[in-house]
Amino acid sequence: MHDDELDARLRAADRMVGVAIPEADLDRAFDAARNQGRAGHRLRLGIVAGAVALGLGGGIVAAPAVADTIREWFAVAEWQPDPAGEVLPDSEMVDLSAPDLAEYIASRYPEWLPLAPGTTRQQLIDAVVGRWQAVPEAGFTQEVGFREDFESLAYCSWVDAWLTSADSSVVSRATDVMREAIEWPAFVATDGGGRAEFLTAYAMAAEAGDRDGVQLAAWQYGCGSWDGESRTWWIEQNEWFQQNDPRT
Amino acid sequence: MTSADDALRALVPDLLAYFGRRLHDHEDAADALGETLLVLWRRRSRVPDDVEGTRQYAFGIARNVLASARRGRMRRRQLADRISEQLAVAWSEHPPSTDADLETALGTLGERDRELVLLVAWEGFGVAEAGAVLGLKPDAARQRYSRARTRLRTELGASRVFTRP
Repeated sequence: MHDDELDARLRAADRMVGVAIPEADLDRAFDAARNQGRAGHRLRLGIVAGAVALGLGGGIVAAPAVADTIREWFAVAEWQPDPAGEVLPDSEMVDLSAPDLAEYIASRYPEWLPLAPGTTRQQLIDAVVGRWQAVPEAGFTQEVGFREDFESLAYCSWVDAWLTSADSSVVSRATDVMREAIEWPAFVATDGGGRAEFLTAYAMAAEAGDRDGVQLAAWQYGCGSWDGESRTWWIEQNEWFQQNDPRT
Repeated sequence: MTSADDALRALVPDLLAYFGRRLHDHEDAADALGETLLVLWRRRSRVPDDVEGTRQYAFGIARNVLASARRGRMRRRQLADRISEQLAVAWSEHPPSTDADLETALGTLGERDRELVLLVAWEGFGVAEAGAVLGLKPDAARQRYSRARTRLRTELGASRVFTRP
């Protein structure tokens, strides 16, 4: 087969040839997305009384030691999240003092979430319930925060797998999941600026076999496989990141 | 509209075509378009200034939305219902031709290699630009593209001759 024949067959398989959508309908879709985007635009509130509320740039609420690690990452990476936190208008507010908090958190577990071998759904539920029950001041937070926690822990399970597994198929799957995680819904919903860029840089590092980049992901997300070494040089030297730096 | 809005609006037909080619359900294609536009709008401050950069950025988002759609994880936002209806009508009046052998051959490629070939063939990207959408460096993109096309030619050469209906 010649190149031109292959090109012809590819062109002939294009389902959109001859499909004409009126410009008014394209305008309508664009305007609808823009309007919904505006409606869902983060409504900044100065105070959500007593809540840990999506702090750390929409980050996770972690056990104290892990939280210190994450804070250090933000400081060294020179990324300043909004300290006031944000409230997403389409996410339910949850009373952290409610007696059925544990059951509610468990009900928010995303069943589609991929978990690395050795990590279980129940482990994640126990971890997230434990984190929130350990919050010293009762108050309110948003439902999306629980889902973000689940996504963060699942992400960590794959980062850890990438860094520690000797099974190439597991490493390959971990690489794929790190790419997919960029669009995980709670990650996207709580992206206060920069998360997508960092996750993309980490996914590219995983795809390139760059352990330092994946170690940086482990550091940011407080994953168990972080070796404790600061790698801010990686951010400065990473070509893609320099072109997409959310801190600028 | 701002110039950034204009740049994104100009991409709507291309993005719809991208999803229409890959998601054969008209509702899924329209939903994916709406989701992509929403993500782009929310991230518009990070959309590159230049036309080609904007296009690559938008298709990078679209690729991720496509992956979510294929996993059945996309929210039904009903942002593009009119487009869904139009697609349904267009495809019912003029059913797309099918090339089962080509689909089989494309299925032998890895996801990124397949997308590399299709972004060039259908979306009109250059090989390096398509590679950028997929997170590949130019040299790697060119090598993968060449290998993928060779494989397609080999696979198709071994299959029956395609004739359009």
